[in-house]
Amino acid sequence: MKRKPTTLLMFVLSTLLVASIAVPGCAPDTADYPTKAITLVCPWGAGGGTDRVARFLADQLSNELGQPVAVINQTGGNGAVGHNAGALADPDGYTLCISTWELSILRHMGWSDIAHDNVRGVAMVNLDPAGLMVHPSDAAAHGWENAVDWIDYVKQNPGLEVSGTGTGGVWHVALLGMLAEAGVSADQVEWLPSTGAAEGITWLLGQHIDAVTCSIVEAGPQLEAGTLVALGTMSEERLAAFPDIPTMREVGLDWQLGAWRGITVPAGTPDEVVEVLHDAIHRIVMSDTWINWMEDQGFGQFYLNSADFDTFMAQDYAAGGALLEAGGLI
Amino acid sequence: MIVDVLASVMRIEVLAPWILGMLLGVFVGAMPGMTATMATAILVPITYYLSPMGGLAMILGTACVSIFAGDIPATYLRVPGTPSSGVAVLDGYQMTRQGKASMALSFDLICSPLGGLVGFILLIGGATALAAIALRFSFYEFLWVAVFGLATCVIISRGTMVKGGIAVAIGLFVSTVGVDIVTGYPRFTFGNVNLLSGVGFIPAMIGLFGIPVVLRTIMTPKRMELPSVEEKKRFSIGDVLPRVVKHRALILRSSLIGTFIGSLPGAGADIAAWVAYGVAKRNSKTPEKFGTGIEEGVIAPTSANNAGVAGAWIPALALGIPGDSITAIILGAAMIYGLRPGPLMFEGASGELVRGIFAIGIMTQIMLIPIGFLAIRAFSKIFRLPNSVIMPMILLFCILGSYALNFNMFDVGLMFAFGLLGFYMERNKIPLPPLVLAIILGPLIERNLRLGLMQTGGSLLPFFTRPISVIVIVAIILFLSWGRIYQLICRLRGVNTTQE
Repeated sequence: MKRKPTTLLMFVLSTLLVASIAVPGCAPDTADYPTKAITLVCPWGAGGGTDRVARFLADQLSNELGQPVAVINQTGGNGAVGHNAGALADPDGYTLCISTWELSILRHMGWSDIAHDNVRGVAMVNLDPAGLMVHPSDAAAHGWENAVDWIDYVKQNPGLEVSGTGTGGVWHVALLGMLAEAGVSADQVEWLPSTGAAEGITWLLGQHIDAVTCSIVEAGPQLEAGTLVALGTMSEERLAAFPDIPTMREVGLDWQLGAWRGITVPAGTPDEVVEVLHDAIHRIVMSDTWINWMEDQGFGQFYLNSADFDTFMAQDYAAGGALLEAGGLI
Repeated sequence: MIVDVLASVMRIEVLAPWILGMLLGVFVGAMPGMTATMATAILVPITYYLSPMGGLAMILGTACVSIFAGDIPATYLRVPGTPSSGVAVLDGYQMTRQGKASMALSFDLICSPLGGLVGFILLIGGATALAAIALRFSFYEFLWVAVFGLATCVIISRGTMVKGGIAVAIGLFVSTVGVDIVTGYPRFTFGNVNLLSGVGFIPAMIGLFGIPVVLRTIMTPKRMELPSVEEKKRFSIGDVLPRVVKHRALILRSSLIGTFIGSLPGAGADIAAWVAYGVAKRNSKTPEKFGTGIEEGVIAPTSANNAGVAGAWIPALALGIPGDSITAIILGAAMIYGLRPGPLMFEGASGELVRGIFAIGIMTQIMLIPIGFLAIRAFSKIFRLPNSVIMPMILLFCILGSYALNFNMFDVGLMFAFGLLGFYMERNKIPLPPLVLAIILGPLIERNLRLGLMQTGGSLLPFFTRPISVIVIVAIILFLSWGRIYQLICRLRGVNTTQE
């Protein structure tokens, strides 16, 4: 009796072995893609926002495609390691990448050679707009009610300190863009690089700095508790979850920026494969499951199809480069 | 009220995922390279199918147990299972070499939950007050906290100060690799994308401690048939309990240090363990015995790192800012269930969740004892195999551990490089712990110094004049020169300083 589990194990193992030899035997045929497991590279760490979106999407995608979709985190270099792995994989549709805004600046900053032209967009699935956050006591003391009030104060009192992420990161560019739009030179404020929005928010709560730019969602707990106030959101329209925060456009600043996430495949991936993936993701993002989950998690819902996503990435790349240059970073 | 809270967690739909999570924690913690963060991230999608309390119990159970379980391979194999168990390779592993592995692990088993309990009690009693203190810490204060951490190197490498200094210098140099935080320019990366965010800490630590063990054993082939761990006497919990009682002050002090350091955003359980070790050695009457397998050297870090896990919850609940990545994940999940960090956390549905987290945190510490006991039993069987089996296993652990973290072969190469460095350093009697500490603290020191200087426009004055800075500086001076000061006080009082 005692031997039985071992025999069973041997049987299972040998079956798996045979199966694993059999799989590469089938010639990859794009017509019935996908025929084997798919890998989804996540350039950011386990548990972060991108990872959570990646894992939920992978789960839904494997239901749609009938093949397992495994998320692997390849982190490092401000997203460079994962984006490299995603862009340089075989263009057969079996390695996807959840690309993020950083793809637009990796080449500008000299961190990697990879940019939007090394990948093909499949679909954009999320965009979290940036906001300008300050401490309530500062807002009361200086009468700041919107971003223009704050910028006017900066013009009179240069040298305010702002944080939200590392140098050249998405929330840094969000600040640079807002200042450029208002015609204020980037050196009128000082950017203190942090390891992320959470650290910047801590500094602001302790009033060690004067403002934070980061996504409204990341500052959500503090905004709800009233320990921070948002002077403006860099989105097209007011956010459903925070209807009291004015947009930049409402106060006369034509500036929008958000951290986006979307699925990309290496350049050279066949059209049929991109189409299969896009249609599956399109069905997912239109489903109630996805909409409810994104809402619960506080992620901004934003969908673009393959062609629009490609155009969007190209524009974002050009705009990011111009702002980094104007900010004296490259 | 306590009865109500207990009743809300003592239900099968909470208990089942809770115990499953704790068992998973044993595996994750004992497997180098598998971090508690990784396990928590993978568990979150599963918790969507559980009740809110069940989900929180599962994740908290995994996180708390894995920090303890990380000490198991550190003690038996000298390969730390989690970054927080780095200190356990010092006295814990030395105890193993003396055939007292079960004693070291029994200490871990009792002191981990004690540290965790102290941490959670402080969290329950003083989260808001402690968080308010943590908020007052700016770049200036953080610089000194990091310098305090580095100052423990002086204590740890007493007797081999020059060699300790060499180790610190290597570590600080290693920590400069990567993108410059202020300018965004890559330093010492040689165009390699894998080095942009610096030298991976986990591969470096696994290699430094694990590989030299294998190399040393290979160089004396006759030992290959011997079991690597010889158990002279099996210590049970009953045997070590009296000694734990004897060291109660040490446990309390280490737990307080752990909770406080854990509550500072940016510093974690790993730094807490090192500082507690340094302070224990500082206050010991026999500091020269630290590093040779002394009880205090095991007790201090293991109490501190579990307390640090609880401490990380203080800013998370009071401010909505997670102290470490595990807390970040749990906080994210709990907020979906209605947790509202900040002044309103005890109101309504949020209050139920907060009290649930407290209850689960405390109960997990108690349940850790039976589950940890089983884990130690299971692992001790594996590790009694001969060296010819154990050594390839350590090597496998090292390779898997460095690869699994990031699915990146570069990290495996890095691990081997640090393994050779560790081997060479040990042969020349250069201590490894200062190197590890310098790698952890280097970036903290650099960042806070540079950010502070940016804020002051280049003036160093605030580093010395801000009240909390002064307190930390005084603490460092006392820490480094307490022996002399103590002698001076005694002499002034006319007391004989020579101790019996």
